[in-house]
Amino acid sequence: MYIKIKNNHIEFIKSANPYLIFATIFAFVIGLYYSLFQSPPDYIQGDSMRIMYIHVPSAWFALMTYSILAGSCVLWFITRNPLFNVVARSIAQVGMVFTLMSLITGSIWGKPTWGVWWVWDARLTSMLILFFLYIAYIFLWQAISNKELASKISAALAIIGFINIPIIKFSVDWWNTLHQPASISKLSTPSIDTSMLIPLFIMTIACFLFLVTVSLIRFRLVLIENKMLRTSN
Amino acid sequence: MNELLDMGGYAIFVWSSYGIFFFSLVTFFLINILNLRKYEKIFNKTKKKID
Repeated sequence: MYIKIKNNHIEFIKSANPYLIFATIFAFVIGLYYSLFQSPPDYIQGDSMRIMYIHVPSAWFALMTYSILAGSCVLWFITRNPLFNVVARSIAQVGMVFTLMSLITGSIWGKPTWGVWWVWDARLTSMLILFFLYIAYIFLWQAISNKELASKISAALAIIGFINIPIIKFSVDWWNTLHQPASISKLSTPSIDTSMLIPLFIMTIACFLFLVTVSLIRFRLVLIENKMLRTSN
Repeated sequence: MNELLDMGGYAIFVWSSYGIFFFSLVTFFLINILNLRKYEKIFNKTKKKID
């Protein structure tokens, strides 16, 4: 099945790329300035709290990306439009990187805060499962040579794996965990000070711009891979 | 300056986190942009041959 995407859309993505790269770098520089220089240390955790500015956006985008991935797979199953498959494959690796960053920075933050690098509590374990789900999705598609079958199996896995997202989100409320509950919620006022919210907000924008930039690069990459596969067949 | 580098005694944790984070993001970005250029070259060559 051919992917219906106009050349001028690809050209638009291409032309937006340098601006997105510039915006991402700019946002990260401002974010770093606020995270490392402007934000005060926490009165209990001291300066180790600064890890939050990279840990929290990583975790948010790990979850958000997986939700988009699963949503794209559902739409692919319903419509069989290969564009949704391309979208899913474009963002999967970015989500995997954010999940890994969330796990690593969380572990490093855990050592001075909890006294351990890792505990098998609900939040950490479900995040690790999310990382394995990303890996499974990426490698399943690569490992199966029949790409129609690969798309079906990897999409099914992504959709089934979505059950893990609410588990991650509510794990800190459902079970007793070392991990703290959410500090920022839609339904209540944030429990962290504005001086810490500002750098967190800027780093979140920077991570979002990174997600968009790399996803669009990968979108073009996956499109070319698809074209080459079609040509070789 | 020393105060910033020391990070209140948490330097190893804060700097290693930021280091790993930005190293991974930059590496991931470079891998993808280089792969894209490589694939674009191969694809254009193949296209020319077919044409």
